[in-house]
Amino acid sequence: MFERPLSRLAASAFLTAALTLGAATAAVADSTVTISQGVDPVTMDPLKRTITPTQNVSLNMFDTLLRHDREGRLVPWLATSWKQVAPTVWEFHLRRGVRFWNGDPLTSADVKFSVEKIKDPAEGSEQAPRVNTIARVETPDPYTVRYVTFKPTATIPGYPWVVSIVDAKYWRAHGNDYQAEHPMGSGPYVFRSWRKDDELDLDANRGWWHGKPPIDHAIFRPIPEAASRVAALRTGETDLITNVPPQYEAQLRGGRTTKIESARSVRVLFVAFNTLAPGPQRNPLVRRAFNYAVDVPALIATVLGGHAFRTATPVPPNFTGFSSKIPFYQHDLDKAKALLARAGYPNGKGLELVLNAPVGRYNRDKELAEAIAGQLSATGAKVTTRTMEWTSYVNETSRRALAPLYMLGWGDNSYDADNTLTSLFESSARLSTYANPAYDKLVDAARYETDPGKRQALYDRALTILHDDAPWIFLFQYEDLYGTSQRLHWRARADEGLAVDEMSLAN
Amino acid sequence: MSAFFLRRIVGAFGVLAGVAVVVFVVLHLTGDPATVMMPLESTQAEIAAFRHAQGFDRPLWVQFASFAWNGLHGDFGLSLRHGEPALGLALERVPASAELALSALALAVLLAVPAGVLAAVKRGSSLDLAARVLALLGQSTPVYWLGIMLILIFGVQLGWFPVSGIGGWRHLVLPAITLGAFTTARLMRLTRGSMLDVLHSDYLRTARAKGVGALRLVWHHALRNAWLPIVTAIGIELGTLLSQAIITETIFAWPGIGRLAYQAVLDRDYPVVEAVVILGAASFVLINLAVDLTYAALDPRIRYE
Amino acid sequence: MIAAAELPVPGADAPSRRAFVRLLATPATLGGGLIVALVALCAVFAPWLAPHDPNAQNLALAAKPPAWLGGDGAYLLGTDHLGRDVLSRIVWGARVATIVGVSVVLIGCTLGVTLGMIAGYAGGWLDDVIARVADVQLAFPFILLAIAVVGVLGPSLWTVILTLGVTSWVQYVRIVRAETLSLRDRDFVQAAVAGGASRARILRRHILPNITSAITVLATFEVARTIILESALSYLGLGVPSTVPTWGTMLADGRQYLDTAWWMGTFPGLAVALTVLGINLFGDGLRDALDPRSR
Repeated sequence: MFERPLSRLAASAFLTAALTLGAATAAVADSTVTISQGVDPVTMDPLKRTITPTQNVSLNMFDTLLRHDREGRLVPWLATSWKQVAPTVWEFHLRRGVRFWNGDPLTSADVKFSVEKIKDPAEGSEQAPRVNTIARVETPDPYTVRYVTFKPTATIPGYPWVVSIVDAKYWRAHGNDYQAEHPMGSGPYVFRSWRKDDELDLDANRGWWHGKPPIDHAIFRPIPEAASRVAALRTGETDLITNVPPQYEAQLRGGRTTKIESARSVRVLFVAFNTLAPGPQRNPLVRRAFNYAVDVPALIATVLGGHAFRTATPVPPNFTGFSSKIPFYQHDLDKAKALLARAGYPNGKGLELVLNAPVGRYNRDKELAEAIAGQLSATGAKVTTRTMEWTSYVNETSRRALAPLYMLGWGDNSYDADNTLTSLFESSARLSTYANPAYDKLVDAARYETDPGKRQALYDRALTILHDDAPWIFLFQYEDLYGTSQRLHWRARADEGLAVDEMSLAN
Repeated sequence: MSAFFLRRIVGAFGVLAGVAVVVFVVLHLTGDPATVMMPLESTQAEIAAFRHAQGFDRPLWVQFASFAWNGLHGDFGLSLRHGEPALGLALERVPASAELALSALALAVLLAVPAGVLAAVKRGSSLDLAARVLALLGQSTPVYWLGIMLILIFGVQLGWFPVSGIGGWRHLVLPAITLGAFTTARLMRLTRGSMLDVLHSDYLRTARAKGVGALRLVWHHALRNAWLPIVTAIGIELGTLLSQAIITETIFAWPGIGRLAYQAVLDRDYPVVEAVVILGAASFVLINLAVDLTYAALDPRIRYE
Repeated sequence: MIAAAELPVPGADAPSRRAFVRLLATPATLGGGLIVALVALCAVFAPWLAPHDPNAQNLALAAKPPAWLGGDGAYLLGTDHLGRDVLSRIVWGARVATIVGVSVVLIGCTLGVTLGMIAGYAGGWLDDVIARVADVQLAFPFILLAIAVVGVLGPSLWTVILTLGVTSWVQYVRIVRAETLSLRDRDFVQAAVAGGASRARILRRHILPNITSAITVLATFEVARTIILESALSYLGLGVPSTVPTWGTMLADGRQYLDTAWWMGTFPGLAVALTVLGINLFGDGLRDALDPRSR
């Protein structure tokens, strides 16, 4: 092989070059980011569950048709363009050349398969409500998808920014149960290994259609206890932690190796009046009085360390349908007492109410409930709290058994008012403890109104009814606090998503 | 002897059956799993579909019969949360929990027995009082509090040990101390009491009169007679440790069965709760059976109850 | 679990009155008794002893340190995250601790002693059944039971008492059974049997008085254990609703403030530790005084 002197020269040149290149590559160490949420993802199957920590892993392994940028605007992702071609038909054009990790091409057949898998009642997927406006999926060609809806819709159906697209061929070959531990996605990070409750390892997908992500490896390591999470960040055992309780903020902001990132959450917290149950809360005067009695800015400042944004409506500001014309109930204890007197409870006499709240479900839920009960009691009424752990609470919520007041949070990532305003206030809705036919008519009409101006007008009227009738004590929109190490460059998202492809590490 | 043995075996099965019935009843008392599992915005129809898919709309006795029959074959169904076989999920985590529990127990024994012996021998002295106070503190500090304090002091401030997760021996230190504190305290008091009993017995007084040296007296003669209740207690403590591990595993993010169980109970993940409870009960029963039989084998009086 | 070695020998000659008092009056035992008395005092006279209303919130004064560390002079031990006085909450917490402790012990003791005596005396299949039921109870995870009870009855003080009481009785059964067994064949019991006394009478008049010392000691330890378990329940979100201040809730709430407002959790923790210490020292002293071998 090396008889001729020229080839020997070439061979040694090649070897030298190869060794130098190898040394150079080896000198740049692989970058790894460690992320600690409160719970481990429950499954690698992206079509089953809606719980955020699990979704946060899916969104790194799978692609979706569309994505939201940090400001909440929809941007093309797997779909390069989309259009409502008929009142009940939405058409998406798919990007070409996208491949799953095993090389299978991503086509409209995969989109159809994913949506139908979620819709299938036998699968029992929690994501079914997201696609329940879609009647069927049509695939006229491999790069075009059509969502056909039951009724004309004003908004894009099917939550195309959260529905993961899976490899239909792989799924059919291996079956459902296999997906729980062996995912096959097209996303920026490839699944490597998973030791449950301990560590989930992902590697960057060098062939990702959007370009190779900056960070080479991602590790998800769950730490349930908040104090332990903060400690792990401080010792450097992890780079990003979620759900930081407000009292740790100063410590992490001032830490040598740590900092705080925050984002306006889509989650809104409120205290609802069960107006379907007997009691003083059926009187709108009492409800308005309580709205005046609660000092929301003080709550936000002391209990949440300032990390929340007061809302006058159930819909947060960056949602379609939000109205900035709705006023706040400014804290006014005298006004509250006056209203109560008009309602027949001078100085709150005779008013004994229970405020129900969950424990450990929402940031500082128990503490907020206690504080609110305290503020309400300043009117002279006797308000006590009744707290219980989440699943018992959910049971009672579903039976509408929580009365007369109950605290709840609502985190909706549709960026549209419809879901919130119907699920929580429409008379027929499962969770609603409010019944107002005039209101029902408005939101129903708004749901199918395609003209944006008319739609907003309908929502303005609906929100005004809610303000005046006060079925809620309106509280605030959370600000999510994340702790990160100083070397991590990342801005938090409103939908609580942790997209590792949006992160990079300083050196 | 064989009659005793037989009664114990039958009793063990009885306990397992009892636990199975209780866990089934209790789970169904705690509410509808379909409502809990499905997200808040689901419709009644979607919840009903889920309920039907999981078989929760069958009559209760049918569900129990199916649970019992499948359970006997080791099939507890698929976890509602994970979608994987429940028993498999539980068994996967046993090694981690066992590692933690055994370390805590080993630590407890190594600390408690010598301390208890010393306290008994030097009864009434300040050493005795100090040991007893320390033991009482160990028994009265809540597990989560101790854990977080240890994390803050030895993990964050001093940086001696990692604060979460499983790994090498260094990851084991803080959780083992946290889990073992209560057991150490109990065992120390037990050893002290047991040794006190023996030290004042006639047998030992005779040995002392015969001129046997103090050290040999304590370690050879006294401990040999006192060890039986201590060993029994250790066996029983193992059971307690496994249930106390829930809080420790949560604080230290230890991937054990305690954490799985707690999450499953909160989720009303029936299959996993059933699998974990039955598994736990089976271990408890086996350990107790072993302890009972050892006791009976070593102390003939007990056999003839 | 307490083993027989920690308890006085049943049925032995009870010490004379004077000897009993002399043995009881050791510094350790007296110290323990003093602490218990202090806790009881706080429990009974809480409304008069507590400087502030334990539920009075003042968000402007949230998480202030103790008065002697630079905080507001009116709050000796500082305030919690809602501005409530830590000292007052501790004093009122003594009330809950006492109620829970005493109630749980009463329930557990009555159930456990009765069943234990029956098991030990009757023997045979009845003994087996009771022992197995106790085993079922012990093998069953405490948390699941707690969630079930809370789910059915709703969260409240009585739910906590019920949950703890139901799990407490098994602690007595084994010991009482063993003690009863050893007493059963004694002469004075056999004499009563021969004399035609009914079983209930024998249990009540001959067995029970001789195991009271063991039960008393067990009960004191159980009070301590109950307080700790109540704290664990609060940590898990299954405890008493928080308008009722309990040491357990304060500890659970305080754990997230250990490095930012340490007084919130540390002082209740000290209260628990001291109470348990006092009870156990007193219990130890009681045992030593009742145990003829220590004479």
